[in-house]
Amino acid sequence: MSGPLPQFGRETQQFPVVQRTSIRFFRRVTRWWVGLFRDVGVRSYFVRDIARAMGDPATYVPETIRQMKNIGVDSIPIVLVVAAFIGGVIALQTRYQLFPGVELSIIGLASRLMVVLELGPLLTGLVLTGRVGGRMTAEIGTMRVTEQIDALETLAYDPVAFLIVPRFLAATVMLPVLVILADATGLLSAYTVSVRITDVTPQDFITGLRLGFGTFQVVYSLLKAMMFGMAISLVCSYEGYITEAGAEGVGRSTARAVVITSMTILVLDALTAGVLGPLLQT
Amino acid sequence: MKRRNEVSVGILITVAVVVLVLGTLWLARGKLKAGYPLYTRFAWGQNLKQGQPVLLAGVSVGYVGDVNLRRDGFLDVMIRIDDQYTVPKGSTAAVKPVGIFGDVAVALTPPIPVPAASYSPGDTVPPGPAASDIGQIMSRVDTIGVALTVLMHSLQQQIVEAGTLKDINKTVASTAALSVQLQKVLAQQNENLTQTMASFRNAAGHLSTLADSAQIDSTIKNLRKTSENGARLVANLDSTNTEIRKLLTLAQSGNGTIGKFLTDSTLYTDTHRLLRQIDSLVADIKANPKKYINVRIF
Repeated sequence: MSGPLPQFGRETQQFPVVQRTSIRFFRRVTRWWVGLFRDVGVRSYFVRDIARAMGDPATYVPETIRQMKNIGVDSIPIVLVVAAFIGGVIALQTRYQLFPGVELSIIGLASRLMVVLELGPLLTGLVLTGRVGGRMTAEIGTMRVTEQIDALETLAYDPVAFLIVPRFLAATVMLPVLVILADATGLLSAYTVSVRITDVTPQDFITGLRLGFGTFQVVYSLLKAMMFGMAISLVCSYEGYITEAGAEGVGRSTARAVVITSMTILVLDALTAGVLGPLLQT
Repeated sequence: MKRRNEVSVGILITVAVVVLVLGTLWLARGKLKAGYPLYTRFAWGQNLKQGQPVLLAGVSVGYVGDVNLRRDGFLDVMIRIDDQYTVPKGSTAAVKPVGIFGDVAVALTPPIPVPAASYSPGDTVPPGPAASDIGQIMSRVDTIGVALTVLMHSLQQQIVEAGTLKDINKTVASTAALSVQLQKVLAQQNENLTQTMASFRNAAGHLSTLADSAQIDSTIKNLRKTSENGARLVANLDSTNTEIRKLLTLAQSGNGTIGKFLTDSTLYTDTHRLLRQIDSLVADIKANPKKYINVRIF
């Protein structure tokens, strides 16, 4: 077995420059992919832990009610304000961009389609990402860096059941609830602005509002809201749950959670439109 | 604190559910009550779906409750009519387009005169003649568009490419020039007329100043005499004319010397023959003067 060592056993520095650069590039790409798969795997384990913790309702139900209040009831003002402004602006912009001769009922139609199908769920999701998701990450991250989570584990409490599941359930339930109110507020605002400020009559607006309405449009809106709620709670809880390195780590985790959640919501929005959009045509 | 959380969450969820249910029902039906059902049947391809309005003589009286696809090319449609409305017996149902966005409504058309009896809940309304849908209208618009394109192409060929437009332009330019000239002429005529009127006024002024009745009277008498002489002259001319006509009539009838002279060709023939003989005689005299002229002095 004596003789020279095979080439793959050599130090990288011992290779010629061109080969050395290629090896480093390949190694970096491989690490990136490995890291990606690792992240997916770790998050899958996290979801598995949540599913497993669902079997312990005594731990998470009381906390779920509190989280529903935090996520749902406390978010009503900002959600309604955003929805009201969005509805009013949609109505105004639609009216001002119309060229002469177009039926004014299109303002009701456009308001309904934009608010119910797109902006109601999307903006509610993005607003709650900042307000609820950031808070979620910061709370759990702080508990992690102050070793409260470790203390829970020491006391034989399942931290996932106590911290993550309530937030997940609360966000999944309350996002659709908030979106219902946001849709209603947006449409009411669009109606008020159209009738009070522009030359659109109530009959025009209501005719357009009801034109081609299908109940699946509401289901579509609520389905998106539910997915956004799941995304917010999963991403933000996980980022808080894996927080490291003290207060700075909490801040970093919070910022990363908000960014990742926002991107996730936009990707989910696009996927939903691509997959479920054709069903809206029936 | 915990109880307060539960109450606030419960209120929020309840409100949201109520808003969801009522809002969806209102958007789908236009109102919250269901109304009583009637049934009708249409052919496939009507773009019908639940929640579309039902119109009775143009008034919204209900909504489409359900649409069932049959395999034999028809749709069974259940419509719901508000309790406050009744649909007269003999009414027919048709799908008609609403607006320009492709939405449709079920239009119920009552018979004229409207009977006293009405359909009962669960009755079937027979389908009437189908109205043109937006596709048919667009197809007609397309046809009109094609015809207009052909027309415009022809006009382009006939007017622009064939030079008719240039000719029209030239004609218009010529007309404009002519108009200018006419305006000049009219202005000149107007000026002349003004001068004439001024002269006339001037003459009238002179006449008024020279209003001597004796002179005018003698002038009028002279004019009368002249007129009488003229009348006499005309009478003489008239009688002369009559005589000349008689003479001409006689001449045309061939009687008398002049008549025969004018109508009898014998004289012409004889005269012609005589002239030829004279010509030949003169020629002979020129050729043989000694034959005819024999001058002897001694």
